[in-house]
Amino acid sequence: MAFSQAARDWYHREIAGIRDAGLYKEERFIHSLQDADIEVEFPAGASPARVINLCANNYLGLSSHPEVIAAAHEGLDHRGYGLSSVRFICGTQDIHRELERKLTAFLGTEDTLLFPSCMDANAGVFEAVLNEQDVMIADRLVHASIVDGMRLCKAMQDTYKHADMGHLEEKLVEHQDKRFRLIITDGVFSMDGDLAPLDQIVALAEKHNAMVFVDDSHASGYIGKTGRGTHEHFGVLGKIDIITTTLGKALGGASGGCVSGRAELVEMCRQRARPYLFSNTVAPVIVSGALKVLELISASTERRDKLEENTRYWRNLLTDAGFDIKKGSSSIVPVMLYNAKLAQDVARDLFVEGIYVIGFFFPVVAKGQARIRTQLSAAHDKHHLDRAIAAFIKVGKKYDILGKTKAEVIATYGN
Amino acid sequence: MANTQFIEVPLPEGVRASHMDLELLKAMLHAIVCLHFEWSSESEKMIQELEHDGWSVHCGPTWLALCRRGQSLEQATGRTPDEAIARLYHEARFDTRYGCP
Repeated sequence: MAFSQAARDWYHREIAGIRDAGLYKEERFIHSLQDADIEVEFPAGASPARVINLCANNYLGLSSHPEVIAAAHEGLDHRGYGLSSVRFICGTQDIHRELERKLTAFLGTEDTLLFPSCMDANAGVFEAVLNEQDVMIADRLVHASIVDGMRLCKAMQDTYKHADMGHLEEKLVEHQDKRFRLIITDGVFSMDGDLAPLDQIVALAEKHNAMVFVDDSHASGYIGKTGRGTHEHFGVLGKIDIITTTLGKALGGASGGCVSGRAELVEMCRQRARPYLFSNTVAPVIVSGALKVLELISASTERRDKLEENTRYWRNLLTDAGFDIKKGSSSIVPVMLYNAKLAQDVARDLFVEGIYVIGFFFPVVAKGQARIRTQLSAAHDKHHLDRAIAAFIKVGKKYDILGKTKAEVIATYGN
Repeated sequence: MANTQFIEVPLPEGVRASHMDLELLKAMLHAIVCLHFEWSSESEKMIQELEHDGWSVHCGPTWLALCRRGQSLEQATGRTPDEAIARLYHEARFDTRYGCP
């Protein structure tokens, strides 16, 4: 028997270690559509509770939009459930080509290639476009999928301190002997919600002859005046060589991702990116839904404007109530608590009060930087946020953290 | 053990071998032993097969740097200790946090 009792025991101990380290991921069962209000069964077996969702990546509130659902149904009816093939054998339909063209137009790039997810796009892109003569210089807080993609690539790896342009320039100078230099960053960083200074990064890239890669998963659809992303926000449309992004957040929330950018780089991914070559095509139902999402957000900025207003409103509510939040403009608003246990206790009490948030702590974030990450949506109305802040204040009073500085919170709870 | 041969290399007066000196000495002796006793015909055969498939093969000593933290293991190779350590550093920097979706 290959899976012996000894092996089983080892895995039990390993899982227990994950629990002891506070890293055990527990699924909460949602009994409703994804929306501002959802029904959550937690803990498992409990009656589902109606709660306000402040932790989804449903930035534009399109995950359950009736027109998106109708378009998905239409895709199902006219293009089927699946293609039973990778793209390059018999898995490319007219709608895949149409979605890639529309994403290209929306992102302001030269070409686009769909992937099953942005995780897959990031896992495949570097190996496809770089080799051992090149160097990848990444911000130290890039997403885990980028790290995995870099590890799969033979090019030299280097990093620069988070958003530190001086350090990035040092690295660009240091690596002038390499054939290609690729600067790698998130557009919006997922844990802090801050934006990479793409205007400065592009300027450095031009000065030191480097290419720029941006993962805009937490930005596409709502950052920038027309929601095209971080590059629009910083006025560098058309100057980013590779953009990866997801259809699983603002752009409908189902799944799927893409590599978009210079035509030759996208073509290299079409020829060599292994997650693209060896994964099934993105299902027609998702492609059809995503096409409707692009149609909706290209026709009007109403949703991203509402999200911007919700974000401003929520940031002001938290600040006025005396919470310590990470400054910024994205719809990721971290409420800083510094202590891991405090973050978990506050999240648990907020759930009891009807607010669904998650506490994050080391090693998900840096030591002593425990927090609750709140995320806004265009699906939220003012009354959701008013109810949420009432709950936050009630729980904040219980733990006596309102109006307290970082030092005072740490003095009480440790970090 | 009558046939055992020794090489004794006296260090210059006042010189103390550093950690890196000893690592280097160990690596050189290990390389000599490997070349004499562990370079099997099986290796030759595998190289020939690779070359037959169009690969150009090179095998030589290199520096290995590794670090552990709990269950995490990071390692890197380099032509020089500096290169190996620099690569290890960047590998480990990426492992500092698990990150979040």
